[in-house]
Amino acid sequence: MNGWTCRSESGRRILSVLAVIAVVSITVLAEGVMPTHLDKIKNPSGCAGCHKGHGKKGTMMLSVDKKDTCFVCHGPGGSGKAVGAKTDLQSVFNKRYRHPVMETSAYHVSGEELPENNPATPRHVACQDCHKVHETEAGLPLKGSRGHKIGSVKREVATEEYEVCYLCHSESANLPARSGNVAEEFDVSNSSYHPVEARGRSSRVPSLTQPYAAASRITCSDCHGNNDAFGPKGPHGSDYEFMLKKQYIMNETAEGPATYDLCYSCHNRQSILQNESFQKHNEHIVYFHAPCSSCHTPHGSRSNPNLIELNTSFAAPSPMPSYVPSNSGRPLCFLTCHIGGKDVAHDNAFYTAKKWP
Amino acid sequence: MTSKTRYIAAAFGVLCWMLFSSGHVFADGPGNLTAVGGGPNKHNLSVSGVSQYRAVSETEICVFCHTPHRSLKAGPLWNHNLSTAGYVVSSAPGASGTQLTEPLNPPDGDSRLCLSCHDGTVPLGAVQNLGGQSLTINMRLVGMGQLAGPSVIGTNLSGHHLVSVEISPQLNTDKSAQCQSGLINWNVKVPANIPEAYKRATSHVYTAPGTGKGVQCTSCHDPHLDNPLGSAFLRAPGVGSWSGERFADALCVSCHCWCDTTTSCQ
Repeated sequence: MNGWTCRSESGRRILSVLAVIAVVSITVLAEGVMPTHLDKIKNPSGCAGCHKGHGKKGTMMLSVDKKDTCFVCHGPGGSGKAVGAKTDLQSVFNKRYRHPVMETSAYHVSGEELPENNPATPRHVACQDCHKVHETEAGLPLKGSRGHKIGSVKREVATEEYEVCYLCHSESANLPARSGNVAEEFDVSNSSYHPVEARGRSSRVPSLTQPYAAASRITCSDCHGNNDAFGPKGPHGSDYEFMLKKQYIMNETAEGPATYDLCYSCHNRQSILQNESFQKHNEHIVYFHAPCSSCHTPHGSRSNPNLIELNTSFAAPSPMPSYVPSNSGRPLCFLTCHIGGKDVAHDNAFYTAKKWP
Repeated sequence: MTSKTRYIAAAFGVLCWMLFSSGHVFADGPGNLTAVGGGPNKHNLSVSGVSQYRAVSETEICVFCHTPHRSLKAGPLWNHNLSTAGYVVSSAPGASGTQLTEPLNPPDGDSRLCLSCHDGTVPLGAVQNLGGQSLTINMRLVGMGQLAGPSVIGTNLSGHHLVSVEISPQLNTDKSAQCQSGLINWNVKVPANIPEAYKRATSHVYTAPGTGKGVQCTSCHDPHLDNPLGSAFLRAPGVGSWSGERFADALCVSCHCWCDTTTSCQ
């Protein structure tokens, strides 16, 4: 009996501790996550952290020039450091490949229509194009952000990261000549695409590393972002071209783990070099120093599976179809490849000579 | 000075003394400027004040702004010479792209009174009536000149919070539409949910018929409030305060509300 009493007392104690934990948790959850900039623990000055009743002329009552406002906290000496956040974005925007916020944010107009429909509008980007500064929360930097129009529906709040990217990187009337319509590249009606908008078309992707599988999806910022893995995240700036997070050599180069570091983050190097996906990968990459980009396009291919788009600086097509896909890793190519100072013909004679399967 | 005007001046002085000693205005009598729970008031421009711009010898406190006779109709017993400057205001849609109306230009109501010193165009000591005369009181630092330094707003009012704009239910409705389209996060409350002290007289009409009340300098600042130096006469703590609504500043959320918070926005 005593034993039971004892047990029930300790049980009661445990129950009351659990009850306290439950109440505390519920209270915390009910409070919800505070938008970071409205949280006085992180931004002790509140509204006045950015706005003054008598602010800078030509700005929204900001205390410093609009283009510098974010860097008051998000700069190298910014107060963001004081709260332990990785927030020195100003230094990231000084990297060679960047969203040119500091140079072009002055062209931003609040409420502007995106994608841009006036070809004369200067191409520009401001922090506010991607971020709703009153709504962002820790871990949710795009909370409340606008998204790309889908059909005739104007999607006011983005539910996927790519919708935010497409605001400027799709059918903008002021796209620079070298930029393509990225939304078209990732279109799910394409023959192949990296799985940004939907799972990929191919069910056979043997090189994928954990946790990725053929049904996985990725985001733009899985490839595009800060090359400093310990710095502020997100596609703000990088030392690598195309603002890529890791190295992605596009010239004829000796293969190594670092050469195609970006690709190898998801596609296992060993698997690729052991020809698990394509039986001549090793020969192309290791022996001939052909970069991934000589045959593959990173975003999507309208007509070819497996992200094949032959790079014309390497491959001159023959009169025949240049590429004949295969489901088993044995495609055929009909072209002349300029590599290693030689022209390597991939033609019927080449294949019948059993140099190739 | 005639005996009559001397009598009037003395009576006004007594009135001022009564106000101060009872703590209704500056909370401190002249010469005793350490307020309980407050601080010295920079708007005491008399020789007994603490402002570096205070008068060289003038002892009357009210006279810089108020006079019982010959006062201007622009404000309550208004004594300070008014500005005739031309102003630049944020014209709609203005710098922000979300501004819905153009404020009055020049500003009216209380803002006009504030600007009579703070636009920096009228001598700080220039009054309609002191001892029956229009004159300019000699001030420290600026003498017979205009206010100088950081307290001068100037005549370009863009970049400052709008003043002389009506606060109306329709403004809340139109701002709600901007909330819906994701243009803004902060709405303007309906007038009924804004404290009376913040709603100041203005002839600006957002939608007819106007409510006659809106934003003026005095919506945020109470020029008579005793405050620690540097706290800018704010009606509510502007910085470092914790208020109910999303932890934002009490001053701002007296009139503004988070778009999603329909209870206080309606």
